[in-house]
Amino acid sequence: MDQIGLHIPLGLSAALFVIGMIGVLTRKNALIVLMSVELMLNGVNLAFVSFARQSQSVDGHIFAIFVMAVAAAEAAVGLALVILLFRNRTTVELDDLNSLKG
Amino acid sequence: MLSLKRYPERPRGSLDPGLGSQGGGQHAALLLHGLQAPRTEAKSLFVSVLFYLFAIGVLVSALSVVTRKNPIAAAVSLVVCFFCLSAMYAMLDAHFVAVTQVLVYAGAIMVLFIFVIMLLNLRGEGGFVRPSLAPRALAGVAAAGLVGTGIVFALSAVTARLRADSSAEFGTIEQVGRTIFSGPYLIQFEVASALLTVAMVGAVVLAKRDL
Repeated sequence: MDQIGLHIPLGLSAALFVIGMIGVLTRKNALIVLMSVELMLNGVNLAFVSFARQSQSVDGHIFAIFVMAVAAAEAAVGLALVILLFRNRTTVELDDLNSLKG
Repeated sequence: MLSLKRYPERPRGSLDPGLGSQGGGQHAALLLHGLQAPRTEAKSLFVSVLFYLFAIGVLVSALSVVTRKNPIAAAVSLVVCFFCLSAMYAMLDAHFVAVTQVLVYAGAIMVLFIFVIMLLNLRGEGGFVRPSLAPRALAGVAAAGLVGTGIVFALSAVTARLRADSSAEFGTIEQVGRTIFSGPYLIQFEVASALLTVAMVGAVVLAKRDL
């Protein structure tokens, strides 16, 4: 493993974060926006894990596990909201939700 | 607490008793060392190549998540991305995180996603960029590019390599469990379980037709 620079996993995690960010900012489908949020969280997890290995301290793994717990909670509530939205408005397109004229 | 050896050292004599009796223990050990060095090097190269392959897999599937029109296709790409990430975690000695990634993300969360997509019977309409949406897509890509350039500049200062002397116990389920349950993270762990319970109740209350 010592031929691999630390910047490879860190760069990959940054790339995942940015790809997820593009998804959150540009997609209109609420479900795909939620999936992009999961991508961003995974990018952060990868950075935690690679720094944990580099410093040989297991605390980074525990942070990653907590992030997973929060992601699971977020996915459950978010998907329930999407179902509720679909039941009331028959759409999951975020552009159609303009009642508040934000 | 941690030993610095990666693998327990095997007694060399038991591998090849004939050599040891012929030319003296030290000579045989030297010879064997010379024989084994290329093998460990090849193994390390193999691991590096796998690491890069999985990194490419993560990137391609993540891009596919963001660009697919059909939500089911995006969800399946996301599952592929999670599996590749889990392999990378395993190579980074995060065994418990790798297993949790497959169980929680690829297992539970993605099943929830696919279940909802099929329940709502969504068609894939409106892809990555729709003509009338071009300003928003442009703004999104610009914002992401800004963040990305910042990160690239920050990363260009990183010159360290992944350390080779990772200990054998690092990242095992035993070590993670001990740190959570007898370390400083016990209260946070309980708060996380309370959060999961609250989220579960909240999801049921939200999605239930009439309470």
